[in-house]
Amino acid sequence: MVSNACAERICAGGPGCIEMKMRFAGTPESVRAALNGVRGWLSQGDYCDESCGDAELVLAELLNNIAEHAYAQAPGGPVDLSLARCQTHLCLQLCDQGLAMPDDRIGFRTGPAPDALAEGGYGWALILQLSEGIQYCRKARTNCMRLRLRLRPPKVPVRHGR
Amino acid sequence: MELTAEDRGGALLISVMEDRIDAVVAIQFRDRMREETATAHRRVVLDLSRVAFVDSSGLGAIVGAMKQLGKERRMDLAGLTINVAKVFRLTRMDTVFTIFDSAVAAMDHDADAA
Repeated sequence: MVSNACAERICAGGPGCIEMKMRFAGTPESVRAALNGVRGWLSQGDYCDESCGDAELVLAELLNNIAEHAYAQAPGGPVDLSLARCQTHLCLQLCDQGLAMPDDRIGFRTGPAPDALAEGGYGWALILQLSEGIQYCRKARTNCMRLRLRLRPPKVPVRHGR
Repeated sequence: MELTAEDRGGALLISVMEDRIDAVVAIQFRDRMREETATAHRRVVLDLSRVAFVDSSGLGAIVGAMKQLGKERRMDLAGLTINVAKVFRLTRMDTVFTIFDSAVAAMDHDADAA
Protein backbone atom coordinates (compact mmCIF):
# COMPACT_ATOMS: atom_id res chain seq x y z
CA MET A 1 0.00 0.00 0.00
CA VAL A 2 2.80 2.39 0.84
CA SER A 3 5.86 2.67 -1.34
CA ASN A 4 9.19 4.07 -0.19
CA ALA A 5 10.35 4.80 -3.70
CA CYS A 6 10.90 8.42 -4.66
CA ALA A 7 9.06 9.16 -7.89
CA GLU A 8 10.46 11.77 -10.24
CA ARG A 9 7.20 13.57 -10.89
CA ILE A 10 4.12 14.14 -8.79
CA CYS A 11 1.84 13.04 -11.60
CA ALA A 12 1.94 11.88 -15.20
CA GLY A 13 0.84 15.36 -16.29
CA GLY A 14 -1.83 14.39 -18.78
CA PRO A 15 -3.81 16.82 -20.96
CA GLY A 16 -5.62 19.51 -19.03
CA CYS A 17 -3.44 19.01 -15.95
CA ILE A 18 -3.27 22.22 -13.88
CA GLU A 19 -0.50 22.71 -11.34
CA MET A 20 -0.01 24.93 -8.30
CA LYS A 21 2.80 25.34 -5.78
CA MET A 22 2.70 26.92 -2.32
CA ARG A 23 5.23 27.46 0.47
CA PHE A 24 4.10 28.26 4.00
CA ALA A 25 5.03 27.81 7.66
CA GLY A 26 4.13 24.54 9.41
CA THR A 27 1.84 26.10 12.01
CA PRO A 28 -1.88 25.36 12.53
CA GLU A 29 -2.81 28.91 11.44
CA SER A 30 -0.76 28.77 8.22
CA VAL A 31 -2.11 25.30 7.53
CA ARG A 32 -5.65 26.63 7.77
CA ALA A 33 -4.86 29.47 5.36
CA ALA A 34 -3.20 27.06 2.91
CA LEU A 35 -6.22 24.73 3.01
CA ASN A 36 -8.42 27.69 2.26
CA GLY A 37 -6.25 28.51 -0.76
CA VAL A 38 -6.36 24.91 -2.02
CA ARG A 39 -10.12 24.81 -1.60
CA GLY A 40 -10.44 27.97 -3.72
CA TRP A 41 -8.14 26.51 -6.38
CA LEU A 42 -10.14 23.26 -6.49
CA SER A 43 -13.40 25.21 -6.79
CA GLN A 44 -12.17 26.50 -10.17
CA GLY A 45 -12.39 22.92 -11.44
CA ASP A 46 -15.51 20.95 -12.14
CA TYR A 47 -15.61 18.69 -9.06
CA CYS A 48 -18.28 17.73 -6.56
CA ASP A 49 -18.21 19.25 -3.08
CA GLU A 50 -17.65 15.87 -1.46
CA SER A 51 -14.48 15.24 -3.49
CA CYS A 52 -13.14 18.68 -2.59
CA GLY A 53 -13.97 18.00 1.06
CA ASP A 54 -12.08 14.69 0.92
CA ALA A 55 -9.06 16.43 -0.57
CA GLU A 56 -9.15 19.14 2.11
CA LEU A 57 -9.39 16.54 4.87
CA VAL A 58 -6.46 14.43 3.60
CA LEU A 59 -4.31 17.50 3.13
CA ALA A 60 -5.29 18.80 6.58
CA GLU A 61 -4.26 15.53 8.23
CA LEU A 62 -0.92 15.42 6.41
CA LEU A 63 -0.21 19.07 7.25
CA ASN A 64 -1.25 18.67 10.89
CA ASN A 65 1.19 15.74 11.13
CA ILE A 66 3.99 17.94 9.80
CA ALA A 67 3.13 20.83 12.16
CA GLU A 68 2.74 18.60 15.22
CA HIS A 69 5.33 15.87 14.68
CA ALA A 70 7.91 16.72 11.99
CA TYR A 71 8.32 20.26 13.37
CA ALA A 72 7.76 19.32 17.02
CA GLN A 73 11.23 20.69 17.85
CA ALA A 74 11.30 23.50 15.29
CA PRO A 75 7.82 25.02 15.19
CA GLY A 76 6.84 26.79 12.00
CA GLY A 77 9.43 25.25 9.67
CA PRO A 78 8.76 25.54 5.93
CA VAL A 79 6.31 23.31 4.06
CA ASP A 80 6.39 22.99 0.27
CA LEU A 81 3.17 21.86 -1.32
CA SER A 82 2.87 20.96 -5.01
CA LEU A 83 -0.51 20.12 -6.47
CA ALA A 84 -1.69 18.94 -9.86
CA ARG A 85 -5.32 18.38 -10.78
CA CYS A 86 -6.89 16.91 -13.87
CA GLN A 87 -10.44 15.85 -14.62
CA THR A 88 -10.27 12.74 -12.44
CA HIS A 89 -7.43 13.11 -9.94
CA LEU A 90 -5.57 15.39 -7.59
CA CYS A 91 -1.89 14.54 -7.17
CA LEU A 92 0.03 16.17 -4.38
CA GLN A 93 3.49 16.34 -2.93
CA LEU A 94 4.37 17.69 0.50
CA CYS A 95 7.95 18.30 1.61
CA ASP A 96 9.28 19.46 4.97
CA GLN A 97 12.66 19.73 6.67
CA GLY A 98 11.50 18.29 9.97
CA LEU A 99 12.11 15.03 11.80
CA ALA A 100 11.88 11.79 9.82
CA MET A 101 8.65 9.91 10.09
CA PRO A 102 8.98 6.80 12.28
CA ASP A 103 8.63 3.55 10.30
CA ASP A 104 5.55 2.42 12.15
CA ARG A 105 3.67 5.64 11.56
CA ILE A 106 2.25 4.81 8.18
CA GLY A 107 0.43 1.99 6.52
CA PHE A 108 -2.30 0.97 8.93
CA ARG A 109 -5.79 1.54 7.72
CA THR A 110 -7.77 1.28 10.93
CA GLY A 111 -7.61 3.98 13.56
CA PRO A 112 -8.39 3.49 17.25
CA ALA A 113 -11.37 1.26 18.13
CA PRO A 114 -14.45 3.50 18.46
CA ASP A 115 -15.17 2.17 21.97
CA ALA A 116 -11.75 3.34 23.15
CA LEU A 117 -13.05 6.93 22.85
CA ALA A 118 -9.58 8.06 21.82
CA GLU A 119 -9.04 11.79 21.50
CA GLY A 120 -6.53 11.42 18.68
CA GLY A 121 -4.87 8.96 16.33
CA TYR A 122 -7.51 9.07 13.59
CA GLY A 123 -5.42 10.97 11.06
CA TRP A 124 -3.74 8.12 9.17
CA ALA A 125 -6.92 6.06 9.02
CA LEU A 126 -8.62 8.98 7.26
CA ILE A 127 -5.69 9.60 4.90
CA LEU A 128 -5.41 5.95 3.89
CA GLN A 129 -9.11 5.46 3.31
CA LEU A 130 -9.43 8.53 1.08
CA SER A 131 -6.26 8.40 -0.99
CA GLU A 132 -4.15 6.06 -3.11
CA GLY A 133 -0.57 5.52 -4.27
CA ILE A 134 1.05 6.89 -1.13
CA GLN A 135 4.82 7.26 -1.29
CA TYR A 136 7.14 8.53 1.42
CA CYS A 137 10.83 9.17 1.07
CA ARG A 138 13.49 10.98 3.04
CA LYS A 139 16.43 12.50 1.22
CA ALA A 140 18.91 15.15 2.32
CA ARG A 141 17.05 15.84 5.59
CA THR A 142 13.83 16.38 3.70
CA ASN A 143 10.62 14.40 4.09
CA CYS A 144 8.56 14.03 0.93
CA MET A 145 5.10 12.55 0.82
CA ARG A 146 3.24 11.97 -2.41
CA LEU A 147 -0.26 10.71 -2.94
CA ARG A 148 -3.25 10.85 -5.22
CA LEU A 149 -6.97 11.37 -4.66
CA ARG A 150 -9.88 10.69 -6.94
CA LEU A 151 -11.93 13.75 -7.95
CA ARG A 152 -15.50 13.24 -9.12
CA PRO A 153 -17.65 15.61 -11.19
CA PRO A 154 -20.64 17.40 -9.63
CA LYS A 155 -23.76 15.28 -9.43
CA VAL A 156 -25.88 15.83 -12.52
CA PRO A 157 -29.57 16.38 -11.80
CA VAL A 158 -31.70 13.45 -13.00
CA ARG A 159 -33.62 14.35 -16.15
CA HIS A 160 -37.14 13.10 -16.46
CA GLY A 161 -38.75 12.45 -19.84
CA ARG A 162 -37.25 13.75 -23.04
CA MET B 1 -14.62 29.80 19.26
CA GLU B 2 -18.24 30.86 19.39
CA LEU B 3 -20.77 28.50 20.94
CA THR B 4 -24.32 29.27 21.99
CA ALA B 5 -26.18 27.28 24.66
CA GLU B 6 -29.94 27.09 25.18
CA ASP B 7 -32.00 25.25 27.75
CA ARG B 8 -34.53 23.22 25.76
CA GLY B 9 -36.88 21.46 28.13
CA GLY B 10 -34.41 19.36 30.06
CA ALA B 11 -31.75 19.10 27.38
CA LEU B 12 -28.97 21.58 26.76
CA LEU B 13 -28.66 22.51 23.09
CA ILE B 14 -25.21 23.77 22.17
CA SER B 15 -24.73 25.21 18.70
CA VAL B 16 -21.30 25.67 17.18
CA MET B 17 -21.33 29.04 15.40
CA GLU B 18 -18.11 28.48 13.43
CA ASP B 19 -17.57 26.66 10.15
CA ARG B 20 -14.51 24.66 11.27
CA ILE B 21 -13.44 22.57 14.24
CA ASP B 22 -9.80 21.96 13.33
CA ALA B 23 -6.32 21.87 14.87
CA VAL B 24 -6.38 25.65 15.39
CA VAL B 25 -9.43 25.62 17.67
CA ALA B 26 -9.61 22.03 19.00
CA ILE B 27 -8.38 22.81 22.52
CA GLN B 28 -10.39 26.01 22.67
CA PHE B 29 -13.50 24.09 21.59
CA ARG B 30 -13.11 21.54 24.40
CA ASP B 31 -12.55 24.29 26.98
CA ARG B 32 -15.59 26.25 25.79
CA MET B 33 -17.66 23.05 25.91
CA ARG B 34 -16.56 22.52 29.51
CA GLU B 35 -17.78 26.04 30.39
CA GLU B 36 -21.09 25.72 28.55
CA THR B 37 -21.90 22.27 29.92
CA ALA B 38 -21.31 23.27 33.56
CA THR B 39 -25.06 22.89 34.13
CA ALA B 40 -27.30 20.23 35.65
CA HIS B 41 -28.56 18.94 32.27
CA ARG B 42 -28.22 15.18 31.88
CA ARG B 43 -28.46 15.42 28.11
CA VAL B 44 -26.42 17.68 25.84
CA VAL B 45 -27.16 18.01 22.11
CA LEU B 46 -24.36 19.43 19.98
CA ASP B 47 -25.69 21.12 16.84
CA LEU B 48 -23.01 20.92 14.12
CA SER B 49 -25.16 22.16 11.22
CA ARG B 50 -22.98 25.27 10.66
CA VAL B 51 -19.75 23.26 10.69
CA ALA B 52 -18.48 22.37 7.22
CA PHE B 53 -15.12 20.92 8.25
CA VAL B 54 -13.87 18.72 11.10
CA ASP B 55 -10.40 17.13 11.04
CA SER B 56 -9.04 14.42 13.37
CA SER B 57 -8.09 17.08 15.96
CA GLY B 58 -11.66 18.38 15.89
CA LEU B 59 -13.04 14.86 16.14
CA GLY B 60 -10.79 14.22 19.14
CA ALA B 61 -12.04 17.42 20.76
CA ILE B 62 -15.68 16.40 20.26
CA VAL B 63 -14.90 13.01 21.85
CA GLY B 64 -13.10 14.84 24.67
CA ALA B 65 -16.12 17.11 25.21
CA MET B 66 -18.32 14.05 25.51
CA LYS B 67 -15.95 12.32 27.94
CA GLN B 68 -15.64 15.32 30.22
CA LEU B 69 -19.42 15.14 30.85
CA GLY B 70 -18.85 11.96 32.86
CA LYS B 71 -20.78 8.70 32.77
CA GLU B 72 -24.06 10.07 34.18
CA ARG B 73 -24.60 12.48 31.29
CA ARG B 74 -24.83 11.95 27.54
CA MET B 75 -23.99 13.96 24.46
CA ASP B 76 -25.84 13.50 21.15
CA LEU B 77 -24.96 15.11 17.83
CA ALA B 78 -27.24 16.85 15.34
CA GLY B 79 -27.08 18.35 11.85
CA LEU B 80 -23.86 16.85 10.52
CA THR B 81 -22.94 18.25 7.10
CA ILE B 82 -21.74 15.86 4.36
CA ASN B 83 -18.00 16.04 5.00
CA VAL B 84 -18.37 16.04 8.78
CA ALA B 85 -20.64 12.98 8.65
CA LYS B 86 -17.98 11.28 6.53
CA VAL B 87 -15.29 11.79 9.17
CA PHE B 88 -17.53 10.11 11.74
CA ARG B 89 -18.32 7.25 9.33
CA LEU B 90 -14.71 6.59 8.26
CA THR B 91 -13.51 6.49 11.87
CA ARG B 92 -16.62 4.48 12.90
CA MET B 93 -17.31 7.10 15.59
CA ASP B 94 -20.87 7.18 14.20
CA THR B 95 -21.33 3.95 16.22
CA VAL B 96 -20.45 5.72 19.47
CA PHE B 97 -22.67 8.81 19.18
CA THR B 98 -26.39 9.02 18.55
CA ILE B 99 -26.65 11.30 15.51
CA PHE B 100 -29.82 13.18 14.51
CA ASP B 101 -30.53 14.87 11.18
CA SER B 102 -31.22 18.19 12.88
CA ALA B 103 -31.46 19.87 16.29
CA VAL B 104 -35.25 19.80 15.91
CA ALA B 105 -35.18 16.01 15.40
CA ALA B 106 -32.91 15.63 18.43
CA MET B 107 -35.31 17.66 20.60
CA ASP B 108 -38.33 15.68 19.37
CA HIS B 109 -36.54 12.52 20.39
CA ASP B 110 -36.01 13.96 23.87
CA ALA B 111 -39.73 14.71 24.15
CA ASP B 112 -40.52 11.11 23.16
CA ALA B 113 -38.16 9.72 25.76
CA ALA B 114 -39.59 11.86 28.57
